[in-house]
Amino acid sequence: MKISPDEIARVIEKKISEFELTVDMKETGTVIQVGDGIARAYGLKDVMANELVKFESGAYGLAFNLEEDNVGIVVLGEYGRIKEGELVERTGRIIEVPVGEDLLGRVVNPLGIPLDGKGPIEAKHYGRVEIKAPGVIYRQPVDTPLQTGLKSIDSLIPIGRGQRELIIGDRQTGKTAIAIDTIINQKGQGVYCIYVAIGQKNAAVARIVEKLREHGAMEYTTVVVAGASDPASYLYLAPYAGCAIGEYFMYNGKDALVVYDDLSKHAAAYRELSLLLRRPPGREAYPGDIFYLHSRLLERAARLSDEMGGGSLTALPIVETQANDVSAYIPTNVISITDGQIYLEPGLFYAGFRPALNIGISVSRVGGAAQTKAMKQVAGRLRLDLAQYRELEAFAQFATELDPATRAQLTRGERLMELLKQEQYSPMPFEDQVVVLFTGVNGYLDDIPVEAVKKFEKEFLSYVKTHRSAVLESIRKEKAISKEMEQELHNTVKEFKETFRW
Amino acid sequence: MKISRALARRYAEALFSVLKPDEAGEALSKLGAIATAMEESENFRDLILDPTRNKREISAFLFESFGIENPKLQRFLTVLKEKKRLVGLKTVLEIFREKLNESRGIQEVFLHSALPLSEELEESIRKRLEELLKAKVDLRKYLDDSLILGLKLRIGDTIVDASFTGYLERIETEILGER
Repeated sequence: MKISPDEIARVIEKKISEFELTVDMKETGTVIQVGDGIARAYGLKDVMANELVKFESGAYGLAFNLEEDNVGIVVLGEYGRIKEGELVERTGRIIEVPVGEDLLGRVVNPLGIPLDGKGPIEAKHYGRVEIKAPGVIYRQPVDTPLQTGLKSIDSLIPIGRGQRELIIGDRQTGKTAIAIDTIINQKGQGVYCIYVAIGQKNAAVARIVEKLREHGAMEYTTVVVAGASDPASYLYLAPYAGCAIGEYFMYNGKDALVVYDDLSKHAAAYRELSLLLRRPPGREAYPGDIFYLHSRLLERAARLSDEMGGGSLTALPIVETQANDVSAYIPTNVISITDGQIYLEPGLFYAGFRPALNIGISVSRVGGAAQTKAMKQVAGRLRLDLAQYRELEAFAQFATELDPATRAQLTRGERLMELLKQEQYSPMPFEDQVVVLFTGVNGYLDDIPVEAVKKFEKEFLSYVKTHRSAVLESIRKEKAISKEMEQELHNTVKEFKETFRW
Repeated sequence: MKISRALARRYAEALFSVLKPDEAGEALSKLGAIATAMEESENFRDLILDPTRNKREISAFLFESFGIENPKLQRFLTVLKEKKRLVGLKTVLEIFREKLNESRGIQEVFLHSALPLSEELEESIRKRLEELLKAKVDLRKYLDDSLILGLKLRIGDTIVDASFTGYLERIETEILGER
């Protein structure tokens, strides 16, 4: 719906011709100081914590610090026009953002204002940015998988709908790539996605949006952007706004996925605000409530009970570490809040093992329950083989002097590791993953050179799709490998291997 | 440089507690005159805030030129000068006035109107306010043609807006759908 200028003129004319004097009560305060995105006001006696306030010059702010004789206000956006002595009035509202289907395919800022030049958002619903997470009785255990489309994650560190899985690693290790692949893989899965970019370069965000559009993922995705040049207040608000957009879907019985990229910058923005408000600094100069900042955000991810509609909100927070130090303040906090972490290592990344996740220390604490039976059937052995391989890995260079059993384990491990590699932007449906991993854990790759594993994988998949599509169909439908199907798979691999040349 | 309200409150409360009720009026008018003079004349301000001059001489000069004979007020000014807080005299007096009004049961109300009000109207407004606020009302009137029509009252932190400008602002908010 678009409003034309003469319609507005008519509305105003009507309002004025029917002018009836009404009285408006406002509670106000006076600005006594302003600077660095923070204003202090005297008055505003009954203002609530986190309430939205409006400055006379038009800007909005959040009442952050309620002190004995003044109120510390974080200004949203431009604070240049605010002057000392001007009035601030209460609005009685907590900040809200537009939510709902109208936001799909859009790029917005943390206040819900579109940034993509596609015209105004005619939202029918608004969601509060700060609400309490659903309580215990409104939840149910995680039991449905959220397929990331990445073999290594779906098999070894499965994520369930409603789970919070941290993606952690140094810069340039492919953290965002995992999140983007996961979003791309949700096509046709009935999962709405929200990508929250916090403190990133606008060029990087533009590239991500373009990639999502290219893969048709923008149809079910909203991107919330608080860029590197935006004020700290926007960076602080962005994840909560993204969460509110996701919650709308969750409370309406649908599934949603929200990616916070990344929470280390969010913490830094909150530290900036806190220090400017003169809150006492603690460890690494973060304020005392930095843990609560992230825990209240991530607690809002949930799998609701059937009485509540059964919707879910899955959260994939991202945290950037410095020089692999996971014992820094923010990483330890977020690790302890989430239900597991995907740990990415630069060493693996440069060795060409991408996605560069360290299988040894990556875990998923609840996702196992959500894994499909078919995946469990192959992943159990995969995990065992890889664990044994890691133990023996150090001996790999003495290969010729080892006993045959050890050598066999090393051979198996090397092939499985090769099999877990995956290109970016090429998520795989879970039945394809099962079939491919099946060949690995059953030793069909052991006599193939490591360099040929990729070729084998590709050609085998296309072989199955053309000659045995019923197998894939059955796995997709039953989500398990039945006895007959297993036999059929064994036969298929044997058949294929006869024709395979490397 | 100004001093914070929290700091000014300490001086105001101290002054309020030493003065007898009948001395308060004198304190307000005489100290108020100094504060106004400081605001109006930069030379005067520079003179009395000059840290290189003898503090006693400055105090004596203030007592003489503003006719301050009450020893309590003299000591108050001396303390302010010694602690280098004379600069915040205006804020101290504002809080002092608030405290005084509170103790006398007087409520300050700022009345902005678009047009001059007749005496009867003003009186009826005062009466109605006194009924509602259950306090004596110290009505301060201001003419403000930016209101276009109507009245605007400010009682402490609360603004009661019954003006045409306020009405237009509300239409603006409604149409823009600001959130």
